[in-house]
Amino acid sequence: MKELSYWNAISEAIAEEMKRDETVFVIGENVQESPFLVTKGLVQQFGPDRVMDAPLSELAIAGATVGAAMAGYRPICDLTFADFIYCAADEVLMKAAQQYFSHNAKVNVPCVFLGVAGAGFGNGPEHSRIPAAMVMNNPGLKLVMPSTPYDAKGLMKAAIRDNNPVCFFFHKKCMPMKQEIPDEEYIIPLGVADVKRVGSDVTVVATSYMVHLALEAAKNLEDIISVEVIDLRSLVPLDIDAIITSVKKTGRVVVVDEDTECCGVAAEIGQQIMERAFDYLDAPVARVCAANMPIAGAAMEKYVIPQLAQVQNAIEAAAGSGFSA
Amino acid sequence: MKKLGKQDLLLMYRNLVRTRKFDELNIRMATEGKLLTFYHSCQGHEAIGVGACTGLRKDDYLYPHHRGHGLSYAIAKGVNPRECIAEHLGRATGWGGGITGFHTCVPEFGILGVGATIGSGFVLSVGFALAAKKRGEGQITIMFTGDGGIQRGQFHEAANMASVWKLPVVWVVENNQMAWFTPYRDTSAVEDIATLAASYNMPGEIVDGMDVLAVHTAVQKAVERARSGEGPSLIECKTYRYRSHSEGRPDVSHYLPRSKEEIAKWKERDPVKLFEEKLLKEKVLTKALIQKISQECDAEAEEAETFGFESPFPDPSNLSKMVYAP
Amino acid sequence: MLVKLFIPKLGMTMEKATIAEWRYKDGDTVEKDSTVLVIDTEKVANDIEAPVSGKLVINAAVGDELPCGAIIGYIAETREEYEIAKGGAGAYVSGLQASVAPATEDQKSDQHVAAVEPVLALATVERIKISPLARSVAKQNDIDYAGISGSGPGGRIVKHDIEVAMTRQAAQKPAVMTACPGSRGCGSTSDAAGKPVASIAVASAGDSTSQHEGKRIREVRALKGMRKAISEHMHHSHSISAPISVMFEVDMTEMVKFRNRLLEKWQTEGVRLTYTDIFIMIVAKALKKAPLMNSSLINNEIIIWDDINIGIGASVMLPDGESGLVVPVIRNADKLSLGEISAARKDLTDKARNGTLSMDEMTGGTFTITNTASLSPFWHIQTPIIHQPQAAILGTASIVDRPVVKDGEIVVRPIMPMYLTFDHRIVDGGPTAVFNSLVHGMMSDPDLIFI
Repeated sequence: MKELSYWNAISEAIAEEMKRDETVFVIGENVQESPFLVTKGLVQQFGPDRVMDAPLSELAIAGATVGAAMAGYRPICDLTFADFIYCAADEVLMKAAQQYFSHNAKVNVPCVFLGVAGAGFGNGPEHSRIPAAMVMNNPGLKLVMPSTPYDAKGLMKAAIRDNNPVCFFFHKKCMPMKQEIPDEEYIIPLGVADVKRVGSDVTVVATSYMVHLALEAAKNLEDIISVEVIDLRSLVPLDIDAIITSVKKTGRVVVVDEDTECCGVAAEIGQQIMERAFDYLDAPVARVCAANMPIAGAAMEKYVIPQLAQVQNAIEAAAGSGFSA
Repeated sequence: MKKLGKQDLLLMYRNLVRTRKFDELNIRMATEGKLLTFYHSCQGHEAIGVGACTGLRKDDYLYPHHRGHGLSYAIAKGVNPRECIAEHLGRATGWGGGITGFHTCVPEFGILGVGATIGSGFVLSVGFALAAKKRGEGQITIMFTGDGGIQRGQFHEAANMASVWKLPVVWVVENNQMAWFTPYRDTSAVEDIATLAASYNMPGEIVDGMDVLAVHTAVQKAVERARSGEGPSLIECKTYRYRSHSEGRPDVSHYLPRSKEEIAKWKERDPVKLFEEKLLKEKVLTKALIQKISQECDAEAEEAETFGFESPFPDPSNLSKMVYAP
Repeated sequence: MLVKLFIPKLGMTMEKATIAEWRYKDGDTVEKDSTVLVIDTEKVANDIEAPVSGKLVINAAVGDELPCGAIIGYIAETREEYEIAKGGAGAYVSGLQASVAPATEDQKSDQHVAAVEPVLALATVERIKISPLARSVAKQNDIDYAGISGSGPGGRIVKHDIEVAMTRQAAQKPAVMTACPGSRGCGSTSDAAGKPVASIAVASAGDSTSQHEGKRIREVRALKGMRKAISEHMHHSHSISAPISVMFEVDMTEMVKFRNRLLEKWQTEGVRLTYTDIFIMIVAKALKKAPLMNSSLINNEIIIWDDINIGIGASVMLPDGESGLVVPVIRNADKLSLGEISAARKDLTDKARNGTLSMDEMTGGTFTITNTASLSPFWHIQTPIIHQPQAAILGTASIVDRPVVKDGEIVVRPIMPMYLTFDHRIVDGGPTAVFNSLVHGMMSDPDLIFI
């Protein structure tokens, strides 16, 4: 066992996979220096041909990623900020997502789109988003959003080995988090949720940094309400069975998502819960999401992004008056 | 550069005729309402695909133009064009399995698939070329687009990247002077697309797109440069679109009908006729052989149509299994 | 929106109520949450508040006795809806005619409803807020959830509420079998939203100058609400049982010391240990050893209860100045510590005073204790009436210094008289004597409680 930070767990996973499979390479802006650390040190180990600093050309970087993947490689495309997926939208959303399907499952596109995501640093509307709903809304893409170093490493290895394009959004707020990481290799399959806290009264479904908010809220309420926290880990594939199992137990659910509320992740999950567990619900499915506005920067950020109090209030509201202290 | 023998010339001629016949078949079926998708005719462009793709290695990556929905390129590379017809009829035997209606995808011939947003070919071909370079087996990538495609950001990003990384890619721009209904002259800052190449420190050549041999020669030169690791090339083929943007649409420039005189003037230099006359003059072709080839191509088109209609539709229950690769 | 006013089901076994008073006239504008009418149930009067603001449509007259769920009027939020309601329901539709339990889907499709409400059927009416889970649990267990107060978000009925209703129903089952209206106690001193009832209806006074059989009448009170329930219950108890009362005295010298010792050592905020608390513990222990005293005669069977649930008779002052009687129940008293008993007793008697006892806090008793010490501080004797369907009731009273003979000397001792009324149908003198001596023993020597 060794203690690794979140970013270090990701870079270790990439390094291990690059060592294991020479078709794996990294391409992106500043991937050698790696301002967000997850590819730091790789160039010294694997050389510039496998850790490619690209021009400031998101379309070309993403397009080259898709093309190389179609031609037999497993590129890891660093979008830098996850927000920049919009710059590369044509190649990510239309080409990467759809090439396999539209060509009769003849040519697959095994690649990873890496992006640092989320708010917390007041970086404003174009550097703070987790464009999760948009990715989910494009069949063909997978979406991973780890909350812990352990998960990040295991999921990154699974993402690289996956035969599909996988968006891997890691959260800025999780970067300094540290955790014991086993020395032996492990892989966490995509689409398997993790119950981060067992409870019986209210289920909270979350991903990425929101898992930590949910856990904090659960802790604060533990004398009154027994909260179960489900970390989905990946949104595509979505472990809806894990959610339904928990909801059938608790009858109450709050979905917490850092992306924008309208047509969002929580809306989709809530609907699926309604479709599959309607008769088990003891309260309406509640959601806590980013407000329906661009993500404000600096001091205004907290008025857009879900805060602890909102999560806590939503849990209490879902629990109802029977649980008041 | 490999010198073309008589058989090569005859094959090129036959492929030009096949392309024309299959294009006509698609147009007829579109007019009859049999196509389950739209069709963008390649009449006027045939020499470019046939000239450029003759002599490529089977494992070279090819990203075709949307004109003819890949016919001239695939035919010249050796693909049976009946797959194109079946695809347009939405059949499982089509080259996209009947899933997308027209996308070309024949991986065993290096055609990994196409996108339908013009210009994406630039960046995807960068990826193919990057893979080829990494593999180091001498594969090159050739990509075709129109004068409209050059106006997307992808070209500029790809050109810079491919040039910096000296990627083995050849870009052939078929300048037919129309993007949908908007003429090139009203949307481009430069007279010749080939001049853009200089901005990215790569060769740019202007070629007569109606002359199959001229195209072949220019492309072969660029292919050799790519194979030898010297980087990308841009070839501008001047050509002309005989028909409207797609079948059933008005043939206009902006909103006014295109000049009939201009179309007629270009048709005088029809690529099939031009090459036929040349080969007749050089005694490679005879009138009888021309007739024989024409009949054989008619028969092949007829057979392809039957093949298409007799082929099954894809099983819709498979669709959901094709969203993600196992 | 056109919102229904209907007779709420305020307890699981409540079946009907009487319209006591309309506070507004038909056509009046009523404010949300204002009291629109008062209904009388078996035990208490209940205010019915306006769920929304709007124009009142009255479809039932004062004095009408109507089943739970019966539509008694509407509140129309717009003039048009008022007209629809008046037109559709006719100038006056008696509540009985329009009666319909709005609870279940089956009932909504009932043809009877369609016939009575041809136009109203088109109007939107408020539906009961109940979670899907609670609805399915209610359906599985055949629980009628109309009138259940919801504890979920926005007052929604949630699974917990249904479970409480199920427990209540289970506890009341024997009572239902004996068709004993008093013990079924469908009156509730809280309204549908769980709030204490603000006012209890006072019947109009009769003409003070009138006479009856030559006697001048000061006041005439309708027998209704809690009075009616008590009246029926007491009569019912005497009419079905064979009560016999046994009286005895206890020297409380040791008990007084015992309690004072405990009071010195055990102080909990807000709870002061009472003699009643100790009596409850003693009775619970005695009942364990004399189980026949903890039984009921139901349908020719004597059912001996395993649970020892002790009711405490509590007189309450009603807002109209009259007294009432409620019997809150301490469940499984034999399993509670003295501290727990004390806290439970305090909670229940506070609630009784405030009128906030819930149905399940007033049902399910297996034995009752009534302590009249606070009513009469002097030495007194009483013959309590059995709280049906139980086997016996124990009365305790004031501890008064009395002369007694001890070792041949007349001495002054703190003495408490006790009375046990038991149902001679169920139990004879022998077992009763055993019970009494157990109680007497522990009362006079509290150390025995722990043996």
